[in-house]
Amino acid sequence: MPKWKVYFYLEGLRRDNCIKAWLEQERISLVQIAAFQDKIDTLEQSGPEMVPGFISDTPVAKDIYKMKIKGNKGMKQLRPMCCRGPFAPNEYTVLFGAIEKDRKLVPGDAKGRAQKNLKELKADPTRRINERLTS
Amino acid sequence: MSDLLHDLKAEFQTEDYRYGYAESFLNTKIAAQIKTLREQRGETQAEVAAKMGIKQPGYRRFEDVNHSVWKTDSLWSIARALGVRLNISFETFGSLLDEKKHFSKESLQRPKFEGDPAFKEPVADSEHASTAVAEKGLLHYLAGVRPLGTRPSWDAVLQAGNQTLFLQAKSSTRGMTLKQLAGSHEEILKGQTMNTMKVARIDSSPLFTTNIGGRKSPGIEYTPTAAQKEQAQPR
Repeated sequence: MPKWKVYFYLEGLRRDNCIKAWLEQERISLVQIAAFQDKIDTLEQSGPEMVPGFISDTPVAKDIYKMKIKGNKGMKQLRPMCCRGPFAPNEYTVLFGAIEKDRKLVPGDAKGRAQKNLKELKADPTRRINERLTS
Repeated sequence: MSDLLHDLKAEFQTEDYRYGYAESFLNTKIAAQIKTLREQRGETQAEVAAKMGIKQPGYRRFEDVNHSVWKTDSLWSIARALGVRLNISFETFGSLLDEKKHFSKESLQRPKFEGDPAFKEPVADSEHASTAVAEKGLLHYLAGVRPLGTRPSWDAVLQAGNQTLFLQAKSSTRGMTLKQLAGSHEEILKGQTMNTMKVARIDSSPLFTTNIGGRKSPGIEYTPTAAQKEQAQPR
């Protein structure tokens, strides 16, 4: 049983995993998806202190934190937006997919859209799923 | 956990995936262990950085799971600052599953050399195994405990005692003055109900030779009490 759980926000009428859809849309390589999954697995197994640097220490917007998955040369710098909880202390929910380019988040309104998704999730707690990125 | 291992077994069938996952896990493991070891030692990032001769902002990246360009020079420097050795090896993907399964803060902790159990007991290795046995016998003897009704002769006790004390002095007092050495042995004596045996004489000889039983030799000399001698006579 994992000590921690990481969920993904389900967006739209079809309730798609927002991060899986984003990874596909951005054509993120399997190597980077694997790196992202490794960090999620370690976080779920051992907690955030065992993946130092994966989640920003301070929020980038109210209740919103930035996940960091560094890409090697030629790869995109993944910066998914997440929140702690919001329904239990030992959980995170990934709310919106973003990348970082020239030290700026793309899309530019990534923080705001993450906050919007968080608000919708609080109103409908079924709008999230715990699954693997490759499933 | 079994679900995770099951998932990884399936996902690792794809080459790019397993290499991406393995590289990420290596970076995660190194960063997490550096942080764990520093915290185990109760030190700040600035303190470890200072030992390495660098500034804290430069050190901080070593505790970041996204740091991926590791130089062996840096790793050696970190190992030295944390009092551990560096080990680099090539492994199978199967062993990654096992590592993942047991990954925890506790599994990453390591004692410094000074706390390494392998070096705590000066007579614990196989070469000194017989001395360890002799030491135990000596301490039991002097404490009045006679294992299985046996009782060694006083000469045997003296011989074992001298050998034990010599090895203890040699391996546990490196860098100490003879005065400090005598002090530490007095502590040993108190702790082992051997407090009737006092340091009789300290020579300035550079040789750490110890002697028990009043025999003349350079180094430190211990003298048993008359009662001990009498008690030690074979039946």
